[in-house]
Amino acid sequence: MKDQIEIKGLNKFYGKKQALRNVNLTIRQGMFGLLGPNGAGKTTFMKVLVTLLPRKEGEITVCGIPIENRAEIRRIIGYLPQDFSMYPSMNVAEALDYLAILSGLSGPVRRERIERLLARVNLTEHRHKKVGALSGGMKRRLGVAQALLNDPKVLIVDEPTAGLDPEERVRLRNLLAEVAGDRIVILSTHIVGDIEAACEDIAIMDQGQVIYDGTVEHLLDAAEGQVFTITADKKELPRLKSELAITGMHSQGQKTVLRFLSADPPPGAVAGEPNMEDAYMLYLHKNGIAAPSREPEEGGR
Amino acid sequence: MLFVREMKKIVCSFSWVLFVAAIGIAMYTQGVFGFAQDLLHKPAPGENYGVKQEEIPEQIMPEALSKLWEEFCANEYKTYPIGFIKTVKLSEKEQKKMAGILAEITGMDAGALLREGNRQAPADSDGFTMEMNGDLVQNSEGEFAVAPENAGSLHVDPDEADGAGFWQPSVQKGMAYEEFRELMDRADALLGGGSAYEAASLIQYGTVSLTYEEAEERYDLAVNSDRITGGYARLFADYATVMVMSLLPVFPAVILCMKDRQARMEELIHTNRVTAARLVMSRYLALVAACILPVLILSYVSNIPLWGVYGGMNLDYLAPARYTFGWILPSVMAAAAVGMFVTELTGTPLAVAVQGLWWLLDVNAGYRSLSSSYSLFRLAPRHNAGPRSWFRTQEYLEHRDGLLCNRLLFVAGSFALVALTIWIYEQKRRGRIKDGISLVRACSGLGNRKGQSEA
Amino acid sequence: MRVPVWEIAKVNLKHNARRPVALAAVLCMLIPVLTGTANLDEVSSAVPLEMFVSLVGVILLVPVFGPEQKEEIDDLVSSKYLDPIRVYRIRMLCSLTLTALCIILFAAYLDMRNCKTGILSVMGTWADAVFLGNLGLFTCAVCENTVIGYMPPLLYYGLNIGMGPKLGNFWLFSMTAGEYGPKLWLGAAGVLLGMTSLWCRKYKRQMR
Repeated sequence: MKDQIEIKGLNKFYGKKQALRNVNLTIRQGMFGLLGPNGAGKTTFMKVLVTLLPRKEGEITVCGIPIENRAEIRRIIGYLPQDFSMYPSMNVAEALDYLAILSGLSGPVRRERIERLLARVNLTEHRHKKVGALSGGMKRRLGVAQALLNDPKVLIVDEPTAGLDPEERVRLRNLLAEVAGDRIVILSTHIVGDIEAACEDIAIMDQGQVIYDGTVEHLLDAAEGQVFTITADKKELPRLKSELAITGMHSQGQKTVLRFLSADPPPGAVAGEPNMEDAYMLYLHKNGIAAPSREPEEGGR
Repeated sequence: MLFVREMKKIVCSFSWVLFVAAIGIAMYTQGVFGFAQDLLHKPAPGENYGVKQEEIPEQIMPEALSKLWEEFCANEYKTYPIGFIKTVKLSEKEQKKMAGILAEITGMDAGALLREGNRQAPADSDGFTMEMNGDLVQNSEGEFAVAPENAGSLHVDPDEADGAGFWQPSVQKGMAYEEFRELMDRADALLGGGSAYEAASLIQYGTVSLTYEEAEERYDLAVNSDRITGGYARLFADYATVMVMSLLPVFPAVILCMKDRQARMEELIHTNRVTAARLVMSRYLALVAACILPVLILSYVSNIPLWGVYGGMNLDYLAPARYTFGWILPSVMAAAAVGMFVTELTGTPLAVAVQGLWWLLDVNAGYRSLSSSYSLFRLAPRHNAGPRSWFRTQEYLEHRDGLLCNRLLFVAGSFALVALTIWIYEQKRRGRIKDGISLVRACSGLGNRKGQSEA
Repeated sequence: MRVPVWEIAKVNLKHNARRPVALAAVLCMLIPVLTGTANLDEVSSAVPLEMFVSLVGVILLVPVFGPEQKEEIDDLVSSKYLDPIRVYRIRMLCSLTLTALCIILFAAYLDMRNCKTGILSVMGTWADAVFLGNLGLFTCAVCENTVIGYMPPLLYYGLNIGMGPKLGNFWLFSMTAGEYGPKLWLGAAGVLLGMTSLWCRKYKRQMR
């Protein structure tokens, strides 16, 4: 059985609207990052992989199992949806127990695994807390625990750090890196920092298409020599904002330092070392179907 | 604008489409789109003009006594304390008291009545058995009569000739109607109320045919006061309120508030700028508007065909609108207010059960009423009782003030509930009440204050 | 793999069915206040049974899909190995059993109070309950909203008060006229509606 996910010519429509366009990807063992602006089709793509949504066209095999074999796919996949939520009347332990029942685990295995996972995500002492009363970070950690209940070969995690404070975000990233082990972990996010920390292979999606598929290193190389900084007067900001593709800025006394992407920098600009954020923005800018938008994530009913 | 936003949310949902379809179907089954087949015409001499109920002591006293005696013998009294039928069986002691009342009415001995009652009691529920002495003779009216050895007569109604038979006591001579009413009221109290013997219900035993003059007067009133279409619009309002509009508006209200709870964060952003009062009030008004609009349209759909039929007469073209807003609207407001209030309070669809139960009780109590039912707390006022009731303009005019009080009370009550909803909403926003407070939790909190303070 | 029927039923009773069961109990306890429940013959006993106890079906069956009304929860449980349709089937079975239990208990109470009831009355009431409940459940499946599911059964109930025997084989209160034939139709239609609800739920997900 091959330890990889193969996707060939995947298309998905919502009515007449095409959500995924001819997606071709091979995802190997380790952490795989899926980047893209909101509405790029990441959630739809992941839901298709988890067999929650049917596809229109294309072939998908997960560790050698064709996607049509839904029961078998679900047996080897763990999924943490974007907005993890559970029956509010259940406490942490009850929620895990019920999801373990649904995962097909028998009594003794269930108890042993729940204890282990609670300890791993640091929720043992909160086991009797109602799910509805958990903080955002705790809820997400519970989400990771439930996704690992069936000891999956493939872990699919959709926007795990959205809405978390910086401390919880780092904690969750570390947790995911720890549990990755020899699994395939697909991590979707629109926060570049999540990917930078853990992933080697990434894909960038925009408007339902995969516009980049390769390593982080390669993406950074491609941005070499196209990132600059310029120190400007605050009065000039509106003009510069309209002229340059700005990726960051910070104040320095009365002046502002702008970081921007350009093949043809204006006078006074200083070349900078590209980071992941720059590389991602540059790629979207150059190859994206449209500029990064802030539309709501699709994939809803 | 907030109102428009809320209105759009309601009207653009599938549940609202279903809501409108439900109203349409329910109204269709009541025949409101076929009023043109049941026309009002000037009475002609010699016709049957129907009957009316009137307080005629000579008719009421023997009829009511006969009914009471029948139920006394069977010890099975049908009562309707809150609308639903309730069969009452009296204990031995209570039966003795009832025999006492019967004795006062008939002037006979209570013990003898009790014995006779027991003798005539059905042997088992499969049928009646009866012992008769003497020959069975048929009298001139088709009744079978038997002369028993004791005083009084036994007769068998031809309809019940398969076995039933009663000796019937009669009201003692010279009994004043007032006294009779009082005794019957005592019998009603013994039965726990809601029987056919309570003073106000006795009128049902007196029926009299309408005269030509009365029918003509009734017709004139329908033409001049209701201007014909008013009567039909009133009938529509009656059916619409009782069938659907005092229940269904609770659904969009609950759905809207539950959705709001699911998207509380989004709403919080809005409420930063908007006061809770404005938000809740806009939502409430949008709900009421969305609910009343299809009814207003249907009311005209039902009324317009009559305009051609009664062409040339002085018709009331605004009647459907007046009855929609005056009669139906307060019930809609009440149902929507209950929906919003209970949902905001409990966070569950409990409002459906609450409104459902209220509606169930009210509808059944309304169905039972013999004449127009505009009592102060009636959720769905009824006018349509008996045939051609939309012509009973006189009755409507007589009770219009009562109706007005009832409707105003419902409007005021609805606004009071909305005010409470605003208060709860505001408390939640300030974090004084935790989101998702439930009655269950509130109750368990009473017994476990410590647990609540930790939460 | 063995379907963990008992485990799922237990979780369902603890977390989902508790409130509906409490509401059903309140309704049953209210009935003696609303209508006569003593010394009734078979036809009169049909009034509390058909007109009130049958509503227990609406209370218990309509919320079967309720816990997964939130899309995130639906997605989460649907991503697990066990097909959600099996879970719904178990929940429906639970609700049908609880409905039957309520009816039997109430019939026993009537019997205690010297009323005439029998297996036919119980079955007839159950047929009403199954029809009304599954009519609501079907609406839930179509609209993907639990609250709206309560509307058609209540509306149909109202229609029965208004139209009575005109509804023929689908008259809910036929036992009050001593007729048991319509119960077969109602029961069959109820079962069919229940099955269609499950199918609809499955089909809607596949059609997304």
